[in-house]
Amino acid sequence: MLFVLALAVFVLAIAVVILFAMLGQLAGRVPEPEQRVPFLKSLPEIPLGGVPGEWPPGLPGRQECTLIVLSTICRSCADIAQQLSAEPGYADRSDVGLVIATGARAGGGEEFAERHGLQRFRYFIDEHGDWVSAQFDLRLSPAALVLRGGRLESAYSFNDVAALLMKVGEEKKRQEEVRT
Amino acid sequence: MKGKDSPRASDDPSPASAGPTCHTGRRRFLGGLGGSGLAVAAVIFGRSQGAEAATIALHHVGCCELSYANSGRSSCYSGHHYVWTCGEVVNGTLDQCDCCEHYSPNYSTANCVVSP
Repeated sequence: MLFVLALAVFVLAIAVVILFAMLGQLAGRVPEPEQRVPFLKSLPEIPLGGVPGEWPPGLPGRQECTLIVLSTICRSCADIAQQLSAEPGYADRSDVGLVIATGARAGGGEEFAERHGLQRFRYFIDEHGDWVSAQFDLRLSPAALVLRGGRLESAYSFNDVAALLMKVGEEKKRQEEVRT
Repeated sequence: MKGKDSPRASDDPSPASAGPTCHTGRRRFLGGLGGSGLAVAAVIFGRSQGAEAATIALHHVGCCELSYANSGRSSCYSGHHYVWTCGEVVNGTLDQCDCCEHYSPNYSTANCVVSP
């Protein structure tokens, strides 16, 4: 009986060691979180004030919205997509939409949205970026287009979603103060 | 529980004789449970490698995530091709790459400009 108990304790000890080894292996697979310094820069090459001719389904209303332009061909867009999916509040915002430009490979847009958990957002799969380049002369991502009153008010290159939306909110507040 | 081939158990249902059988059964049950747990853990942890392999192999050059291996500029930019610019912030400055994908045959390349 004592022998059986000793054996059981020995097996348990080995199981605990294996468990910790597995945890260590899993921890090793999780990448170290990078300290991101928020970057937000206007894109002077994008003509402002234009009114888009066509407005695709799936996006928020064009009167007042922020379009975040991502591309399947862009690795830095994957980081933005990760930020978007990590914060559930972003998807609930009715004024935020995503434009996912696709590369040469067919069907990459839906796959990108699925891979990064963006299905809850209002988004439009822009085949080869044709729509966003025709309407706004933009072939760069990640980028953000801010529309007010149906017109393109500002265009940004950015790396931090929270900083972008804060800037958009500040701009809106400032304009409202000017009006009143 | 009282099988035909175990006359002792059926003849004498006292706790003293039922004890060892009960302990053996419990031990077997717990052993089975532990073994199943380990097997499930092995399947779960073993599968992660396979899941990584199942995803599409993308080729990273600068901030580009290319569908095909880097073929060089001349092959990608000739004929029917697609170019998109990506931007990545490195040390506070925006580095940009032109990511090129050729439709058929499948070529990719990236032309990166690093900010001074």
